Amino acid sequence: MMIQSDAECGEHIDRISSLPCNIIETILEYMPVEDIIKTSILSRKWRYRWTSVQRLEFTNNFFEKSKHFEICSIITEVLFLHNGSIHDFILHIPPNYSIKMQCLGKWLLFLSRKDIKEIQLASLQIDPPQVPSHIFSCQDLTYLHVQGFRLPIAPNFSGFKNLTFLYLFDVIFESDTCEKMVSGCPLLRALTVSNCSGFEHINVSSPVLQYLLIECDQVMKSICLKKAKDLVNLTLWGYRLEDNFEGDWVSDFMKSLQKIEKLHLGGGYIQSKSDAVGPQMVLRGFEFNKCCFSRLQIVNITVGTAYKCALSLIRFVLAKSSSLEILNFKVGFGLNQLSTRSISRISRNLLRMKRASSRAEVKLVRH
Amino acid sequence: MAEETESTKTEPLKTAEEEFKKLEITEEEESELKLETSDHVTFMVEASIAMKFGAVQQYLEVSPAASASATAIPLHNVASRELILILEYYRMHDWVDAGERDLKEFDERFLKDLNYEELKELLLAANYLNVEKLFNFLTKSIANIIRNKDVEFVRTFFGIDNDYTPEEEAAYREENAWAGVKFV
Repeated sequence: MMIQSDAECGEHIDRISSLPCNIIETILEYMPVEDIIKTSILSRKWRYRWTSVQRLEFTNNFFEKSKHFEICSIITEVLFLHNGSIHDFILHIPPNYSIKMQCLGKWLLFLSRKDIKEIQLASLQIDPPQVPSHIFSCQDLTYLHVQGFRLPIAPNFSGFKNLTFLYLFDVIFESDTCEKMVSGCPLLRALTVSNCSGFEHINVSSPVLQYLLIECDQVMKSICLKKAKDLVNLTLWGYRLEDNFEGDWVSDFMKSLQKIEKLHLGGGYIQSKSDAVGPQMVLRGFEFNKCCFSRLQIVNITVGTAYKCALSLIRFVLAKSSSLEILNFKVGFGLNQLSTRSISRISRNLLRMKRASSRAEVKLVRH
Repeated sequence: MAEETESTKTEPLKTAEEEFKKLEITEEEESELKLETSDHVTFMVEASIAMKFGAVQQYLEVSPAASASATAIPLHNVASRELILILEYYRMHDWVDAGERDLKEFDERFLKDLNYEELKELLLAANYLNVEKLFNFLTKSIANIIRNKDVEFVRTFFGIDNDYTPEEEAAYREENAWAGVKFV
């Protein structure tokens, strides 16, 4: 863009000040707080203009800039000067910085009285801090993203009745309260639980859930999706499943896949350590359920060296998915490599399978 | 990582019937609306695109007769120069085969070809027409341009007259020193 030529023209029209308010507000809403505050120095007209911006973003650059100042009191001051509703609050604490949790608690309480709708909290500390319980005062939340925190659920927690998007990364729960959290959100449309710990069960009670990602390295006992009939995009990724994994969820989960479009399964969800659980459950689920996956378009399946149950699963998926476009099958994930002979056996197998969709492309990838 | 890919693809059967169906669909979508800009230039615009303009939708709600292409829908606050750009943007973003990367490259080029005055005019037109996608794209682009720049840059960029006294300005800069606005 030609900054020079324009500046040289010496045009002294107050271009943006003459722009309608909604435009200025939208521009300010795309900027982090340190840039918004700077606009107060532009001119008299601009002095308090920023105070009605409904989105406040405190991220890396903010911390970097204010490192020689008292960070907590700056944030408190910004909130204090703010005028009107705040819909969006974003706080990303970079490594080597810390925030007093008493302060965060007060900010959350303050935000709960400012019509807060969306909150993002991320911390990259080695020792994850605890989310202050005032988060539960924000009852109008529609979007919540928490990363790198401990999240204790208060005993009197009654749920987030309006929450639509819940993203949890590296969150530590206490004594299986994750289930309580998730089941307290009846309007959830998207849920991500990635690398979280401190729970063994997930029970989705939202009937409108469309997007679900569960990715974890720890022992899971059950996932219940009985009510999730609208799932469109599902990712399940895990290495270790408990030997006494409550297998019932699998058939329930297959029943809820009527509307599924994208399916990604990997690790322990297909491959089983013992022959007693796992694959049989998956297959039984399919047989019980004579439905077809008429909307399924994309499937990714990743397994280690035990590929046999995955092949049976693929056979069912190919035979029942009339809109399938692509199926990626990755084998040999992890340390052990598969022999070329096994690979050619798998590919012969794949070629022979009946396909409900003539468009379907099947890709076999060896790690 | 050794990667071996075997692709077993079944080519779709492109029967004449399928091709014919596609043709029919495109023909149906060919219906056009007549739009007239502030400088009295008329444009025939695909209905599928024109209907993305909030202002056009609103006009048609009030006077549905205008959807018959004989009458032109007046766009009082949009000049032909801006409408051409808006149509270029929407035709690209509406193009079924455009991949994510194509769109990104297009957006970058689109922005590069505009000077600040044109950018502002286009933003005003997008605001008037109530075209969400372009409006968000332009406001976001402006936010990116002024992000992390000093106060002087932002003043020049927007052509803002500083009416603070030097003392006042110094005091406010001191107040917000943490945001990097201190006098050097």
